Amino acid sequence: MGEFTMSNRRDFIKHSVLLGGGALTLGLFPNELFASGELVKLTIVHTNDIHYHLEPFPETDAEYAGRGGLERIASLVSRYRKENTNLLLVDSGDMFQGTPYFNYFKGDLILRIMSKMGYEAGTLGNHEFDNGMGDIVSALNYAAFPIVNSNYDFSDTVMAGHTKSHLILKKGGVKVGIYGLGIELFGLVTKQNYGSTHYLNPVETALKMEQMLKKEHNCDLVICLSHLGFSYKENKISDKTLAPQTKYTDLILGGHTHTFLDKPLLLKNAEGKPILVNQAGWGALAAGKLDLVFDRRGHMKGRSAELNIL
Amino acid sequence: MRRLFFSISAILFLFACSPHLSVYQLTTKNIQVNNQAAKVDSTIEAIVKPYHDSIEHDMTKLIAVSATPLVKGKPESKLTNLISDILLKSASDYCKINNLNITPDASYTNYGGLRSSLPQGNITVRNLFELMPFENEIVLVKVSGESIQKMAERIAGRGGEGVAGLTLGIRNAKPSTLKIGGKKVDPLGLYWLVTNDYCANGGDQMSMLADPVQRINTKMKIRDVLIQAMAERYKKDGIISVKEDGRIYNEQ
Repeated sequence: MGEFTMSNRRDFIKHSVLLGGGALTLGLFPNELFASGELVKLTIVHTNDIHYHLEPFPETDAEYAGRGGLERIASLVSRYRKENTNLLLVDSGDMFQGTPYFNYFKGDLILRIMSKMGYEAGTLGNHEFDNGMGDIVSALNYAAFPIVNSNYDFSDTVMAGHTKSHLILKKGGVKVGIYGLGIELFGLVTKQNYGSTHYLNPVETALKMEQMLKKEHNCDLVICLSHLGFSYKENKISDKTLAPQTKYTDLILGGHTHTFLDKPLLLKNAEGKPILVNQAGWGALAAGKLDLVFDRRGHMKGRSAELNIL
Repeated sequence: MRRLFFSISAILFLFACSPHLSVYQLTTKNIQVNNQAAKVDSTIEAIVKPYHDSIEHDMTKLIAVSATPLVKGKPESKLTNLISDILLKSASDYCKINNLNITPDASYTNYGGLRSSLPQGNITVRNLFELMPFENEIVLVKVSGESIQKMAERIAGRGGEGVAGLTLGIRNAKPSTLKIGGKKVDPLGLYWLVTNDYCANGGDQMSMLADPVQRINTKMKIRDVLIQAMAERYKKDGIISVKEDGRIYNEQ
C-alpha cells in the first residue's frame, strides 16, 4: 500500500486491482460479528452547498431539469437509515441563498427541514453571512443540530456562543470527532455582514483540532467539515492542499467550489496515512455516502483493510 | 458517468491506530440525486408546502419569453451579455432621470454572481430569484483606466465574465486587447463603470474598484431591475433573443 503514488490515481487504481483482484463486499465479514456487535457499521451521508434547494429543480431548468432537491435526499436518508440505524448526516455549509425561500423566509425554513431530516452537524459557508450575522442567529433558533466551526472567532460579534468549535458524537460505540473550517470571508463577504469576526488560519486550526479530538478525546474517527473549497488553480488553501498537512483527520467533507466528484479523492496525510476528501456538487444534486465498518474487539486483526469506491 | 460503476479493492491499513477502533472496510458512493435515485419525501414536502404555496403566486408571474435557454459561459455567453447590457442601460437611464450628466461607459457582472440559468420559453419571477438571489444593488464607480486594466486582467484570468460597453481579447489568460467605446483604454483616463455593490466594495477579488474617484449608490436592486427591464423588452419587442457578439474573445 505504500507503493501507490498520490499524484497518479490512474496508476493507483490499476495497481490496486492487480493486488486485490476485484471488489469485495460486506460478505467478507461473518454476519455473526455484526450480530454480536463486535463489528460496527457507521454510515455517513453528507451534503454541501444545498443553497436552499428544497425541491427538485423545475422541469424548465436549462441545466438540471427535474434533478436534485433536499426532499429527495430526505427519502434517500430514510432508506439508508432502514439499512443501518447507525447513520450520521452532516453538511458542509452554504445551506442558505439560492431559491426565493431564502428571500422570503431567511434561513429559518431550511434549518427546520434539515433538523427534521436528522442532520447532526453542519458548518458555516460564506453565504450563511449574506444577510448578516443577526439573521444567522435568528435562523439558528430553528436548528436542532449544532453548527461546528473552528476557525471563525466570533467572540466580538452577535454570533458568540452560537456555534461549536468541535463536536464529539457516539455512534453505535464509535466515537466520532467533528471540527469545521470556514473560508476566509475578506473579499468574499461584504464586511458589514461579518463585522468583527476574526479569521483563524485553517491549517493551524485543523492541526490543533485533530490533535485534540484524536489524542485527548480518543475519537475513533475525525471528520473535518470544510467550506474551504476542493482545489484552486491559484495558491490558496483548499481541501486538497489541507489534507496532506494533517495527521489525524480521516475524512474531509468539503464544499464551496460546487465540485461534483465521481468518487472521493484518496490522499496521504503528513504521516503517509490515507485521508479521503469528498464533495457533493451543490443544489442537493448529489450526496456522498460512506459506509465504514469498525472492528471492536480486534477480530479482523491481521487482515488487511479494504476500500471500495463504488 | 452515472453508468460507470467501477469498484476497486485496495489493501490499505485505513486509520489503523490503536487504542482506537479500526476501520476494516470503507465503502463510498457519490449519489446523483435524480428521480431514479429517490422520490421526494412526502413528510418533508408537506412541511414545505405551505411556504411553497404562500409564494407561488409571486413566483409564477411571467416576465418574458426567451427564444433559447440562456446559460452562462466563457469567454462570453448570452446570459452574461444580457445581464451586463441591462445593467449598463438601466444605469444610463438612472443618470438621465436624475440629471446627473453622466454617461456610464461600461458594466461588469461577476460570473459567480449569476447563480443559475434562464430557460427557453417562459421566464418567471422564480427564475430571476434563482439567477439573482442576492439583495445586491447597482452601483456606479468612476475609476481610472489603470483600474479598468486591472479589472480586465482579473476577468481574463478567469477566462471571461459579464461585460457591456467593453471589448476584451484574451491571450494566455491575460488581456491582449482592451477597448471601451471602440477606443483603447487610456490608463490615465477616467471611466464610469456600472457594477453591483458587492464588487464595488472589492468583493470577488475586485479590490481595484473599491477606492474610486467617485461612487454613486443607485439603491436599485439588481433583481428588480432585471425583472422590470426584461418585462419591458418582452412587451415592446416580443420573444427575447440574445446574441453573442464577440465582446470577449480568445485570441490565438
